[in-house]
Parts: sequence; C-alpha cells; structure tokens
Amino acid sequence: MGYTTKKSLLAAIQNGDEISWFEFYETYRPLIILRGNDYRLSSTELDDLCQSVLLDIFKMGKRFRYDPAKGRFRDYLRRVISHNAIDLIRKRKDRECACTEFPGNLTDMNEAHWQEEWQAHILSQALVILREQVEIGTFQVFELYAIKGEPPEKVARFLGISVSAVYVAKSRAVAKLRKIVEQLREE
Amino acid sequence: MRHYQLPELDQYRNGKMPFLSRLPCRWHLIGCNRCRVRLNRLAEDDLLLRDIKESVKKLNIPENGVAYRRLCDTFQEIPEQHSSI
Repeated sequence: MGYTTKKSLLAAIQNGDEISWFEFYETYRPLIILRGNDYRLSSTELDDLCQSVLLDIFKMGKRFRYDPAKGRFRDYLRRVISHNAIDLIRKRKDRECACTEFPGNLTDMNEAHWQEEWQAHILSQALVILREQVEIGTFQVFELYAIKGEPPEKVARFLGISVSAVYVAKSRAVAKLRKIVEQLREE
Repeated sequence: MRHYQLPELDQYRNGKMPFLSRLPCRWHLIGCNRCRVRLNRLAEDDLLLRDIKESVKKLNIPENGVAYRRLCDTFQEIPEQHSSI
C-alpha cells in the first residue's frame, strides 16, 4: 500500500495522483458492495457491479488518475456505482421479460444513505491508516482493548505490560485516530 | 495543582485506578473544570470507537475469489500483496 503510509488513498485520488486498480479495489470493494445492496442486487450482480465500476473508472488501464476538476471523488464514485447498478437491473429486466420488480426512485437513490455509507467507509479506513501510523505494540493494545473489548488486565498480561500502559497506549491511539478521521472527512 | 492525564482519568472512570488514588482524584474532579472536560472527552471517544466498530462490521464483506480472479484476468495482473484468496 504505497499511498496510505504517507497520505490516504482518498487524498492521493483527490490530488490527481496515479493509483493502481488493486489499491482501488482493496479500498473501495466493500463500499461498492454495500451500495449495491441498496439496489437489491443479487450476489452475482454485486460481483458484476464491482467489476463494472472498476472497468468504468480504469477504462481497461491498470492505473487511474482522477481529475480534481470533476469535483469531490465521493460524488463521482456514487454516480459511477449508481449508473452501473441501474445498468445491471436493466439487463436483468431484459432477461426476465420485464417481470422483475424495479426498486423505486432508482435515479436518485437515497443521498442520505450514501452519506452514511461513506462515513462508515471513512471510519473503517481510519483504522487501516492508524495501523500504519502507530507502533505495532500500541496498535495491538488498541485493537485488543478498545476494538475487541478485552479486559485491560488480560491485555496487559498477554502483552507483558502494566495496566496503566494499556490505558496510555489506548489514549495515544485514540488521539491519532481522531486526527485521521478529521483529515479523511475533510478530503 | 496537578492535573490528571487522559489515561489516568480513563482508569478512574473504569474503576481501574488504584484504591488510594481514587479518592483524591474524585475530589480533584469536583473542583477542576479542566479535568472534568477531559473526562467528558473520554465519553466522546467511546462514541467514536462505537461508530468505528459498527463501520468495520458493516464493511466486513467476504471477498469472492472467483470474482477477484476475474478482475486479475481483466487487468492482466496478479498483485503479490493480495493474500486473502
């Protein structure tokens, strides 16, 4: 993961840096699938959606450079996902002689819901970035105690540190996490 | 006056502060606005962590190996970093 060590992939995209299809796939696949679920696509269609979104964005090339003049990347991505999801539903309708139920208001699928999904994406990415920005020991403590909810005594015993050190590491990680989330929300 | 740091206040609110330190901390919090603000920040941190946990759960969508390989074929590239399939 080349970009995320220095800046997030989103920042790289917004900057107009060149990114690979694989970095994009690793980062955005869950979000594309999540959005595809809003269109009530089948599991096969969700995989097709992921494929078609990538093809649409990368135009068969292995690398892609976003034009920041197009506006915010999140809006562009929403439009690309929406366009491809509707296309898949149309194809299904053609195959099934127009007897498939068409989800209502397809052209303007709930904007607020997309914002929620985008926020969820930002938060899960923040955790990925945190892992790269703090020491491995700090992240281990944070993951075990703050994310997995293990008791601090158990974490301290497991890692051979004091309970106070568990709280110090958690505090450090959360402060860093806040900054990462703020930065990602601004991008 | 000695102010309390976030990890200490975190221990205090979780009942993990050593017994002899707990009472002075409680008295300090009554009179110190700065430390009360810090204590409230910990509650905000809890909300952030809750949202992160929910987001990770929501986006933990298993990958379809066949679909991934189809993408590798399309882009004529098998990235080395990908270890999950």
